[in-house]
Amino acid sequence: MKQFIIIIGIVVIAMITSLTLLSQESLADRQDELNRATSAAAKQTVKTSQLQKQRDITSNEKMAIYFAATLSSNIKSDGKINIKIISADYKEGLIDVIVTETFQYPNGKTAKIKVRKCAIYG
Amino acid sequence: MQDKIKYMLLFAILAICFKGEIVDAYTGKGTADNPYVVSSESDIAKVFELDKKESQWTYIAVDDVIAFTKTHVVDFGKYRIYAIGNNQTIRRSKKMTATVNSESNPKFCLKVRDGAAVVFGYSAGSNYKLVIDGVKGEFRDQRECNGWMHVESYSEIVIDTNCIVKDAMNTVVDDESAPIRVSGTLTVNGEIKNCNGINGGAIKTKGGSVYINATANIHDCESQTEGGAIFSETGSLLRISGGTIRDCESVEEGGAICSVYSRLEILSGNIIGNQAGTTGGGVFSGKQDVLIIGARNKTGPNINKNFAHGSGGGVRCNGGYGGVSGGLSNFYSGNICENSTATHGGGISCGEESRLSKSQINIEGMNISNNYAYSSGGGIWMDSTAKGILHDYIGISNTTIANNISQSYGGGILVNSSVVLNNVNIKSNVSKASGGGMFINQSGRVKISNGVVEGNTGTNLGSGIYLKGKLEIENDAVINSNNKVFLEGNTYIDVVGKLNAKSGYVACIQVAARTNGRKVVRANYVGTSGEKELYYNASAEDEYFNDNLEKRYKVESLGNNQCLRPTEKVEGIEAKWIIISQKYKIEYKGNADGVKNVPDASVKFWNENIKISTQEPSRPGYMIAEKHWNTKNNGSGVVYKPGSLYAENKDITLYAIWEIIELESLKIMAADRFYVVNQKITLAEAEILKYVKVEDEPQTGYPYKLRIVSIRNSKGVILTNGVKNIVSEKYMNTRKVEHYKVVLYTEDAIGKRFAKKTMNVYIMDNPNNEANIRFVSKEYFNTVSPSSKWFRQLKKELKESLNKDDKNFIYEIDLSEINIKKVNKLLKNDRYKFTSQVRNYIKEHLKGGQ
Repeated sequence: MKQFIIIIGIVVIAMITSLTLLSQESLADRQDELNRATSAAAKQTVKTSQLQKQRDITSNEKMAIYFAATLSSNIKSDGKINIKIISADYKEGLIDVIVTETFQYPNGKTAKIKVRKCAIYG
Repeated sequence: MQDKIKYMLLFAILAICFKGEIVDAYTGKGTADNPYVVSSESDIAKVFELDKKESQWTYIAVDDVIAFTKTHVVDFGKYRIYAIGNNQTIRRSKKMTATVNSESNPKFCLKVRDGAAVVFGYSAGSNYKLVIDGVKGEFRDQRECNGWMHVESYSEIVIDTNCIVKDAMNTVVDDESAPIRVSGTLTVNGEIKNCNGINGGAIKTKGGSVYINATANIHDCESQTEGGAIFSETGSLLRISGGTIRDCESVEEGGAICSVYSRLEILSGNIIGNQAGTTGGGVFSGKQDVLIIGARNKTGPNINKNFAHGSGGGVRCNGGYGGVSGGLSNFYSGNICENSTATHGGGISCGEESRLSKSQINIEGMNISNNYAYSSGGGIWMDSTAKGILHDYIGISNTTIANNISQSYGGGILVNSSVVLNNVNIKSNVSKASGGGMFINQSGRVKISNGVVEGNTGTNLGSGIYLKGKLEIENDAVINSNNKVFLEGNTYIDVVGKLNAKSGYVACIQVAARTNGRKVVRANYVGTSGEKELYYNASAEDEYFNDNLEKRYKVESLGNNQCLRPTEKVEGIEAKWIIISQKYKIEYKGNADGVKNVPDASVKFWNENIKISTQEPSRPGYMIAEKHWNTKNNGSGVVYKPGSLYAENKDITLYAIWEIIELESLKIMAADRFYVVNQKITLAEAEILKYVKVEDEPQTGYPYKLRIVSIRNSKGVILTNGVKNIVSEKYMNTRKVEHYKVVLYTEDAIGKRFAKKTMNVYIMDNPNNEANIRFVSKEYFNTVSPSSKWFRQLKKELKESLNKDDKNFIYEIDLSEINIKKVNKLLKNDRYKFTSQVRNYIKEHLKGGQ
């Protein structure tokens, strides 16, 4: 009986440790992913806005939508995304965004990570 | 011839009969319905001689002018005499040969004695006036005249409403003479005017009783000595229940009334416009006299507009001199207004005690206003020996002392004795010297239990109160902030009971010498302290941190940093005082750049020790010296240990003294940097050093300064040879592919330990020509190339954007996990083309921002 309790205790401790490690890893991974995805999407949006004869980005609103579409294609993990376009200038090639991802750890706790990127052309 | 003689005799007899000399010419039966009608002196004399019943009134109607040539004595019966047919007069004979006008022994016209009673001008008899005329105008060339009537003991005369006594005069200097001399009872309901006397212009009573009632009007009388209208002495009672005594004048005391060794009750009525050659313009009461002013039912007389050449423009009470002064004066109610004096006590002047009598006074329910004193005490002047009636202190309660003026001290009141003020308003008085509201002399002691001193003015010091003696306050005492309390010498305010004021100053104080340690207020009752009395809702401790605590007291014109303090923490003074103190500043200096946690400056008060702060400052790379506070920044001054006591009374600045921390190691941690050709990033020092760190052991937190000491290119050429302050962007750029080797250097605060590190900076080729796009942030805005359009033309737009936070967005898009998957599916279906389908889907989730 005593051994059984010790085993159960060890299992519980191992689970808690695993969840903690997973959580930390999850946060770092997501931060990295969001950072990369936002950078790539901003860069792609600014670059597209400056292509000659392009039709995709013909207003600041379309620039914002384009950014959102590109970011969506770069995000693989689950979670909600909030995009705030702080500034956009499709003519000169500027987009300044704050992207916030809200997700849940394996233990059910909610967390948020935030990235700000301002990309300019030229 | 015989016929002629017969006719002449017959004519003579008839003539005598008609003149009434022989036959009784009066008619009537002496009853109310059928009075005796008299028209001559003999008629009235006969009526007085008739047998009558003692208890019945005899009614006498006068229908002509009657001249009294001799003294008529009424010693039995009761008579009601009145005029009929017209106003009638009973006068002193104008014949100087008449008995009554005897040059050597002038006499009274009428004496009433032995229980007899006479009513002149009986009000129910008729509406005509009966004039009692003293014909004083007939007495010329200093010819002497005695009084008109004398009411002797147990007898009574009434001057009723239809009687006018005029021009009665007495020039005989003796105890028994006066225009109206009273030893019995005199009641005045009518008018007495233009009378002249010695010791009483109209009336003198000695041992008698005089009642002045509501319809009485005594005016324009003069006394060669005391009592312009009435002189009352030795065991008399003079009670004034109404009426008016006006425009009378005495050469000596009491312009209207002088009462000595007697009882004077002025319960109502008006005493107006009288004048005394010495003291008591309206009323003089003294020589053990008992004076009652007003009634306890709050009705009282008006004693207004009187003037005295001596003290007491309105009332001189407890007066006298030469061992017979003093008395008992009780002021219950009434107005004493607009009186004036050439000396002191414009409204009331209270005299001194003597070996035979105390000087006792009590004042309540009075209005003492608009009086004037050429000397001191515009409203009231109190002698030093005056006392209260029930206590040693004089009580003044429920009284207003307002708008009085003194040419000298004490606009409202000058106190030489002990006085307790309870619900007394002393307001808007003026002193042309000091003590606008009140002047408390050296022998004076005033306790304000409940009352306000406000709006008074003093030309010199103490617009509210000038204090030479003692001032005690308690309960609802307030000396308004528009009034100052001047404390002469070492005087102070004694708080003898809890004060009820919830806010505002209880007293604004003036002192001649505003030296530190000057005691201004004493907390002097059980359970209190200087601290409790000074602050409303704070403590002495709070004052270390707050300059604006609400206090009950203020001292005018204090010097820089002087203030009031309780003495709880003051060395050498009991903990029940509020004193003038001074604030001194104890300032702490970090004594180097980058010092944190330096103690805030603190305050020290005069003669109060204070602990030097134990808060320990911190400085990266350094540790604090053991006794780290010093009066000199190089550590050569006086040392103060943290927590030690500082006792000096002066400002002080204390400098932290530092010792450097010995390093075990110092390292520069730098990763290589990669750029691409044409990235248009300025390779300034800030950019190059963006991710470089310095690590030391022990970790001191010192902000090591990094600098670039040399730059080599890929060929190994030192581009910065000999250059001291290297501006890296001069030697490095992104225009072409290159490999720079940058040597970095740092050292500790004293240059004892240093570290070097070489880092590589690579400028790489950019085949996709994507170098045109870069990221920029607020912190590294200065890395934007000065040649780029964002620096030259769009700098403002870019800066503005970078300075915004997430509350200032132009669009917001919220995408759930499902939305993201949907977008991805749409994109994938269209081979990652940005179709209108994708655009419209995302637009559904787009909101415009601010």
